[in-house]
Amino acid sequence: MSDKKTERLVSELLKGRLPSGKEARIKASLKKKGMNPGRLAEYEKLWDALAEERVPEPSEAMSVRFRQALDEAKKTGWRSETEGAAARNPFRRPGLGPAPRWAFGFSLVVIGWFVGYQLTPRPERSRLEALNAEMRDMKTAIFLTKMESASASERMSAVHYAEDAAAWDDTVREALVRALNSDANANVRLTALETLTRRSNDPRVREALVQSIERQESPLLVLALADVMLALDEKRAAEPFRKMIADPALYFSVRQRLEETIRKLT
Amino acid sequence: MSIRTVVLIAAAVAFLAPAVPGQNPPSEQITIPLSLPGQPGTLIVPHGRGSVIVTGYDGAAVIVKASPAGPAGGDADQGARGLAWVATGETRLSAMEDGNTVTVITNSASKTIDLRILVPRRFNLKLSVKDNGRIEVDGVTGEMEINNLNGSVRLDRVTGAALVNTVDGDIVCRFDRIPPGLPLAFTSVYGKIDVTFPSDADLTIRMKTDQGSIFSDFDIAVGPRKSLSEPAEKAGGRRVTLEDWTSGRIGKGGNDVRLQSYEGNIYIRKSKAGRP
Repeated sequence: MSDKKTERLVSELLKGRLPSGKEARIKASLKKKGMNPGRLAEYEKLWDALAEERVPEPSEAMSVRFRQALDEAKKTGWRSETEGAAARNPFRRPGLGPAPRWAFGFSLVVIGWFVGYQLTPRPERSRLEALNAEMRDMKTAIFLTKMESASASERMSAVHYAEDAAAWDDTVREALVRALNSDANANVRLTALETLTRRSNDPRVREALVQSIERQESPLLVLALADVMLALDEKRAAEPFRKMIADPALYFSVRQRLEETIRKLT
Repeated sequence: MSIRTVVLIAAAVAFLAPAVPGQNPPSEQITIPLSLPGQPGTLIVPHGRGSVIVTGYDGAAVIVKASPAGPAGGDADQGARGLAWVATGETRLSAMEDGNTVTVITNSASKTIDLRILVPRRFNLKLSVKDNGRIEVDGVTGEMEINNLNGSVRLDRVTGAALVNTVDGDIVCRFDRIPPGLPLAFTSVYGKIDVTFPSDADLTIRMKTDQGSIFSDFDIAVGPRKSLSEPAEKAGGRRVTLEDWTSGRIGKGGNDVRLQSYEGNIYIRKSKAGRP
């Protein structure tokens, strides 16, 4: 016999609904299960006491009083109070539909993400950043090594690599300016010039480009620089170009083009 | 390991042709053995006046033949009629080898001297000519850095990287094969640029000509014009765009190829013969 069943039997017993033969049997079985007959008697006493307790019937007057109170409450504060609460609750405003609730849910997600990110262990993040920095340093080191290579095509590849925006820093800029001014191969110098031109919003790059004019001997570079200076509308370039056309040995078409450039710049 | 340096003075092996009028001018020839035979080497020729003609062959040494370009004034000199030209051993051909890098020097700064050079097929070339000559290369695999100020450049049946520039001369190049990753660049002021690539080449091309036009029988997927400008959000000053560069792709795109001539046309041809 399970405890639940015992409990039910005990309660039936207390209610006194059981036939007397069954009552005796249950009492015997309960006793066998170890229930103290004294306790059972106590339960019986308690049951009887509860039965004797009189529950007062609600009077007519009470019902009337309740209704009066309810009506009064409806008339005065209660309604406006609940409405005020609704008005204060931004999620229950009629006419807005479920949008605010969605917005709230979404902002919870965002806040959750942010908190999660903030709680991510710092060492993890700094290690990632360190790895990135290391990678960049390594790439820069490879770039610089290639720029020093005796092979012009290696240097060319390096300059192409520097076109990648992520690779841009002071070291790369300086190496490109060096290449523009003194690389042994004209094609490497030209490509360095193009890459630098893309960064000409940096005043240091502009300065370097202007300074580079006087260092160039190849007509290829002089013409390319003239194009760039025109595109940048760089007035400081007029002076070095003027010096250049003073040289009687200058190629005719280079001279023509430089004269045109100077005219447009000034 | 000690670095082996061989300096060969041409006089020791010069073949002086008999001074007979109308015959070829006397030439000098030297053979330069390599310290690492069978491995790729580099040939450096900083030449003044005269042509440099380099041909790949199946040998293991570099062979240089230098010929003075004939008597000054040539056949037009009436005063020299009936007289023999007395060769004066003026090529002063010398060569230096160091770890498979061969440098060839002549008296070409003051005299016009033509060089014919045989190199092993896998060789890098660094050739430059200032005046009065052309540069030709045939059947060589390697990196080629070629600079001819006033004359033309012709590369035939070559494989590898090539950085070629001239001021006056035309550039004509025919590639057998272009190994991936190697850059190609051809730049001239007045010359035309005529390049032939294998029909299955994958190239990323940037080209520009001011006075000339560009022609090709490749399907070049011309991309948006590459503007030489800062990203807009960073632009504090004015936006800079150099409109005249055209970027395109041949095949899947790949090796960076730069073609620029100020006054010449640019021809980009598909190799008809296919792969050899």
